[in-house]
Order: sequence, then structure tokens, then C-alpha cells
Amino acid sequence: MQAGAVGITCQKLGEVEVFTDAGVADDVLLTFNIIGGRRPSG
Amino acid sequence: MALTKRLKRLAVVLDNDAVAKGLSDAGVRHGVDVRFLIECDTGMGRNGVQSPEAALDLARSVMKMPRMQFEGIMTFPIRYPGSRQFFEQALGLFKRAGIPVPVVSGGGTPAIFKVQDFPMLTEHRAGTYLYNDVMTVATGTAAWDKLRHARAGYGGKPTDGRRAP
Repeated sequence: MQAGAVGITCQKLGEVEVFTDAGVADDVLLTFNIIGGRRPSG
Repeated sequence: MALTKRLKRLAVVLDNDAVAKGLSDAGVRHGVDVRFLIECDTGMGRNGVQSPEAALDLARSVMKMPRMQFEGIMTFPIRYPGSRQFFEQALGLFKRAGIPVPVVSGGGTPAIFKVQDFPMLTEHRAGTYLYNDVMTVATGTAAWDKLRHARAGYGGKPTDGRRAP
């Protein structure tokens, strides 16, 4: 991001969660077809 | 959807109606708009619609779904000139349909050294370079000694079009 990236790309929702929690970027592209209402917990 | 509210922008890709319907329903349920890109298979053979016409048809169909906002098209541009022709044709179709395509997203570590062949791209996503794999070696992007980890275990049955590298 410091080198000038406009945002980050993630392949899984879990990745988006980690990077959002860490405050890495506020512009995220999730490049995978996401299906299903809710992840199984645990 | 909760993540959407915490970010300035969260966009997602899709290549079929079922995924679009699920995203639309979730957007309605949570009261948030879902920004989407149509994933196009321009030669990689993984995910994505199979033709420029299919990209336009799916975009039109999904734009009618509640809370869905079309942002652009996305691919791994690993075939030249195939990927370029696919995107040129798709952008022509969208233009004639009067649908703006603000984001034209390319990706893949091998392709980042060839972005000059795809002048329509507005962004490039590369990630495998972080650790490298058999794919980056097979494409000549990395040497075996640049692999972070190497693991054997290709278990799929090879076919004419799909084989172990």
C-alpha cells in the first residue's frame, strides 16, 4: 500500500476479515465466486 | 455484508446467476449495495463466463437484481491475443449497450510482465509472486529455487486439456 497500490485483492472472506481488522486497505476486491448465506461456525 | 460497511469499497466477482442471486439477497437483507465484476474466462480455463456476449448478458441480468451494482469485468489475461480480443469485444458490446465499464481488471503473476499487451486494463492483481508455485515455474515467471514451498501431490486424472505440469 505504501508503494502506491489502490487496494488489495482477496480470494476468501476470511482474508478480507483479517485485512480489514488490520486496517491495511479500505478498497478490496474479492476475486472468487462466493455462495452460501452463512459460513459454518467453529 | 458486515465487512462492506467497514470499507470504502468491497467489490466481488461472479460468473453465474446463482451466485448473483445469493449476493443480491444478502445485500437486501443487510441493506447494502453489492459492487460486482463479471469474471471472464479468457483462456485460463478456471472460472468465468465463456464469451464476451455471455459477459454482457450476465451483467444485464444481474443489474436488474436488487442492490447489485455493475462495476466492470475481470480476468486472468494469460492468453495473447485471446484474452485481449475477448476484452476488446466485450468492451465493444458494453459500449454499444450504453453500459459504462469503469473497472477492467487483469491479474496473475505471470501476466504482470505482459500488461503492455492489454492496454484496456485499469488495474492488475498479482499475488502468487509472494511464494511462487508450479504455475509460475511452468510459465517461466519463476525458477524452482524461488519457490517458498514445493509440494507434490497432483491427484487429478490428466486429460488432453488438463495435465500435471
